Amino acid sequence: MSVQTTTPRPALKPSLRLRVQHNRYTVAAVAAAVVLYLISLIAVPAFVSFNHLTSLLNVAGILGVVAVGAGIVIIGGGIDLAIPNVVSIGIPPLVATLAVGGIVEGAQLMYTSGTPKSASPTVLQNAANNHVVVGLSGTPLIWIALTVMAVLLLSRTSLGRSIYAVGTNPRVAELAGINVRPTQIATYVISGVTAAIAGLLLLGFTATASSTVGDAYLLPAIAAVVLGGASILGGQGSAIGIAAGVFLLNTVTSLTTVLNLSNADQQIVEGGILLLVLAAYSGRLNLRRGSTAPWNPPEAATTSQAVPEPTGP
Amino acid sequence: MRLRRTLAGAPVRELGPIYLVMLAVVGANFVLEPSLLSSANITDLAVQVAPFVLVALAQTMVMLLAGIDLAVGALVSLASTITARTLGHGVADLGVILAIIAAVGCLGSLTGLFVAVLRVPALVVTLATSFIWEGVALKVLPQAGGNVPSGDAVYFTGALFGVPIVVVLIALVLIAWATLRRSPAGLRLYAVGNNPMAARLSGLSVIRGHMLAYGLGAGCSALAGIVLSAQTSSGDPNIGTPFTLSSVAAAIIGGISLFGGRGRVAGAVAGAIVIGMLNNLLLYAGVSSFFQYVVQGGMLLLIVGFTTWRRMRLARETTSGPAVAQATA
Repeated sequence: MSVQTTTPRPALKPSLRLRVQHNRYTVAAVAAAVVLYLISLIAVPAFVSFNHLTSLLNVAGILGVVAVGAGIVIIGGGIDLAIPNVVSIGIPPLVATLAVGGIVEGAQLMYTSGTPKSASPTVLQNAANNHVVVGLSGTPLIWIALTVMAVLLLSRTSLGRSIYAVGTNPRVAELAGINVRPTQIATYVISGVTAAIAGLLLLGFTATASSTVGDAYLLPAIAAVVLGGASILGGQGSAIGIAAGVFLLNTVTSLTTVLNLSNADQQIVEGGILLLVLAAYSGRLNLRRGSTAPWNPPEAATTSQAVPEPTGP
Repeated sequence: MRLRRTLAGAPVRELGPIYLVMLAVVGANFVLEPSLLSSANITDLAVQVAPFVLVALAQTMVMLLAGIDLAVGALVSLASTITARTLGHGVADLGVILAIIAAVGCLGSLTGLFVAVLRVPALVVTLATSFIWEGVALKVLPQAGGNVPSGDAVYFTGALFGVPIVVVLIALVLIAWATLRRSPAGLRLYAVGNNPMAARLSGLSVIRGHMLAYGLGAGCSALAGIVLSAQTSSGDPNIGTPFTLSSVAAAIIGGISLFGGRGRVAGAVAGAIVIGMLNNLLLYAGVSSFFQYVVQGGMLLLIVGFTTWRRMRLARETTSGPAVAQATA
């Protein structure tokens, strides 16, 4: 597509500055991940090795795969509790997620008969454990591939643009002619597929299939998506940012592990970092859809002198 | 006007569906296991489901402000571990117990302050705080253990005139809530939950509303943790984990709106009883543990579908204008 010189329009390609500004949360997430990684290199000299980086990626892979799917659901507004119920009978998405999660878990239990299965196909074990390229096992490669696919999906396809539109405001998206419900269902399907892939990789990694082992990934995946700059309210976020969030979370974990922090301290540190990031991102809600999320009146109302300062009754 | 109507609306019609479901589930329990119909067994059931009812109440407080608290489970665990580590001073233990409830309540208020001041979705804030409280609980008590002296446990496991004390406690919490709901602070809580912007424009403090709701919720979680510790005579840093998501389900089944400002606490109590008794039901029905999750998930979907459908019809019949848009959009 070449822009004809005769067109009076300004260049369609946004400037670098505009692009950075538009993607500032992604940029911030990537920067935070890189800075934290560099800090970990300074703090722990033993980390300065290619092997450490590859093993970090190997470990991060499974959470990364889960987070790709969770991130797409979140961008589509699926976890946003303020979204009007799009499911026909009015079941809020989160509850449906909970219930469906229960069903899937049960199906797994039936398949494994409740006891951990020890025989996992060798092809899975190989994919998860053997080094395929430069010290990377199959897991991070799949993570990277899925991230690239998510980038393309979100930015280059109409489904991707629909996901952002629905996540930003489903009502407006509907009025704009987007099929809201199929779009949201698509995000759940994608998330289900990535979760299944992660489950298979985990199966290869631990060589045992257990139905509860996946539980441990749900909340960290949401945390990684948020660290990656996606808005939990939907409509904002990027696949690159989510990957950065996963990397960041795993860097923190490896740092706290090597510093010999107990499991307890590790959780406290991770929670604290998450809170800090939230505080740093908190200005965002004022920048976008000021009328729904924050309780500060929109621009016009705040400027009017008639608004009284909040006082107790 | 609308707020008044919500508060004073027809409770029977609002709570009808969930109490029908509750009667059905409880009744099915008795049909499948007739031996349950003895006063001793009914008492046992009530005691068994009581901590979960308290956690559902905790979740309800936060959901009334259109939030969601992923930290309730961690707070339960935290209170449980502190209880198991600090008791053992005779009569002074009553003061210690009150102090634990107050301290954990303050942690909740802090969370509410954070949510209100930074205007970050409660879902992610409480996710972060849940990591922190869980970590602290693990520091207090790395693994299940500790000790609750039987002299203290009896405050929660004993009976008063034949009624288990936990049931009395829940009744007291509900009475306190009913009083609060009619007070200015309670009205503010509902108003802020219903429409924070309108509440603020009417001169109500959104921040104080949040601190109150999250604080009360954390206090309920703490009470649940203490009760659990008393029941097991020990503390457990992971005891609250399974409560977190099921408390959300209980509140939703009980008619607490995810959009805030709507719903009755009595509904959440019924919702908690339904979920608690559902597990028993599957057990008595002889559903193999492999199918339990499937059946439980399916029944939850059915129940939520039924109660939501009833509620939407109710909203359409009784209110007009924005209420309809809110309930059906």
